[in-house]
Amino acid sequence: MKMIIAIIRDQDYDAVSHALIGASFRVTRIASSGGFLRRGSSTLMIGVAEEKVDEGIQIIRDHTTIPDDPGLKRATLFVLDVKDFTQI
Amino acid sequence: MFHSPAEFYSALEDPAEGSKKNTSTDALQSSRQADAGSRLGAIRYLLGVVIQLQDLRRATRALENLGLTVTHLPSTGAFLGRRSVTLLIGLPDGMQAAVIDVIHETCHQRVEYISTPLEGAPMPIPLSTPITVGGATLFTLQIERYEEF
Repeated sequence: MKMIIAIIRDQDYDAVSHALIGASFRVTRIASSGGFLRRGSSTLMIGVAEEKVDEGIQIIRDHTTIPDDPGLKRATLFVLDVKDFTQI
Repeated sequence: MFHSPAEFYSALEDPAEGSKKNTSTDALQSSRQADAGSRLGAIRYLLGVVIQLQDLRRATRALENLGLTVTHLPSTGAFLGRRSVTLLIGLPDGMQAAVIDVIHETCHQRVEYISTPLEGAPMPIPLSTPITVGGATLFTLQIERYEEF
């Protein structure tokens, strides 16, 4: 089990979350801010099986738009190892 | 303390700079920070830092001066359930000490007074009780993989 923490821009959230949920990923959104212009951003926590990490990252890559400002990133992703995963 | 998202975001702004701030200087600053960021090594750790709202501005500025990108999450917690801010920071190797120094300098523990009712009194007489709040809590998580695009 892995956890993807993805920081994306607010305007991409709808497209990314629909695509991820459509591909049966589970997504938790945390509203956040930050980055260079301290704009609104969305932090997504996505718990995934190890073999689906690549697919998840590809979906995020495909559904984020390219920002007008070349200094801005479309997304920042951290993949963490999850020792234990339980759903109740 | 703040009661709406707008207040939270306005707390991020420096009141002294408020009037002269405009997007062009922001953009300039952002490109400078981008340059600083690209000089750093590969991101190896994810740092979660929980700090008090009062310390946010100073801490963010100091961390950005190190060339790090900081994401804020509004949060609450601890003994009094106060508002706090959780910062997410991608950290390259060898920068842990510098970041801990910066957090140590900018996030102070402070003594505040809360009113508690005096026990045994016939009427609720408020008594001020000193409590220690603040400081910072850091979690460093190992990253298996880091991507930005």
